[in-house]
Amino acid sequence: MSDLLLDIIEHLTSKGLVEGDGIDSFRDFTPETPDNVFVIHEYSGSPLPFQDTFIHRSLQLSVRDKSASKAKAQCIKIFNELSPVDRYKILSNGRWCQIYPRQSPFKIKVDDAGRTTYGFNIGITTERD
Amino acid sequence: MDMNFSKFHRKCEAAISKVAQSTKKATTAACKEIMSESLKQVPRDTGALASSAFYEVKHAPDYGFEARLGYGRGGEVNPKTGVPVEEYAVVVHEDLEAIHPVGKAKFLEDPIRDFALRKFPRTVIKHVGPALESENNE
Repeated sequence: MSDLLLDIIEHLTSKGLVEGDGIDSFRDFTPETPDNVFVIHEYSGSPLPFQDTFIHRSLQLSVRDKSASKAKAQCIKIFNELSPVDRYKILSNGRWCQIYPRQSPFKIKVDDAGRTTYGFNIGITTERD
Repeated sequence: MDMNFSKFHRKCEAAISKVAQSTKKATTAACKEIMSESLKQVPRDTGALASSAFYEVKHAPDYGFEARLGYGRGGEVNPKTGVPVEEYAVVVHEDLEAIHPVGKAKFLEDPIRDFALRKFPRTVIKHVGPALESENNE
């Protein structure tokens, strides 16, 4: 396993939902350009569960676009890919995940350049990196 | 065999009533503890966001009690920008790259999750346990 955030970006790339890491997809920071980007942030996780083979982590996934409707649509596509009804997901590199969306996609902000960001948060139980 | 369940039934009714009231106390205590921690983490510039904190406990539609807690109630307006708190509270909470001299993003979600993981059972036992205990001793 490599970095979880990179694994997710590569999974979404394999599904044709993003172009790729460092192209239109970024980890833990949002570049000023290009306008249209997908970003994954990791924030505070949880204490180790009873079985420490797996850990529970918190991620925020967001899409910024000059077009608010495109940002929303793209965010919903990513949300649907990462929120299977039964919670279980195997990423393209074989990483096992149990994903809990904390809400459906919502508008986070509109920045000074008029770009809209939609996002959602997930809890994810997965193998260690 | 003839059995009279009326006394048992009365005891059950009494226990349910006591537990319901205790649940309200437990829910209120949870809200107070979460908001206390949240107010330590909320970003502060003018103080408008912190001043808009709220919680409310009310009867759930089916049974027990439910709580709502958050920020952006009461019509608070940022005195610097003139923007109502309810219009920017989400951004402050969710923007993980914003730099705050005081406080941080996820100032509500983190305390709620921390409470759920570590403190919820203790709060339930503290407030609901005595009600069940007293009912068993009667």
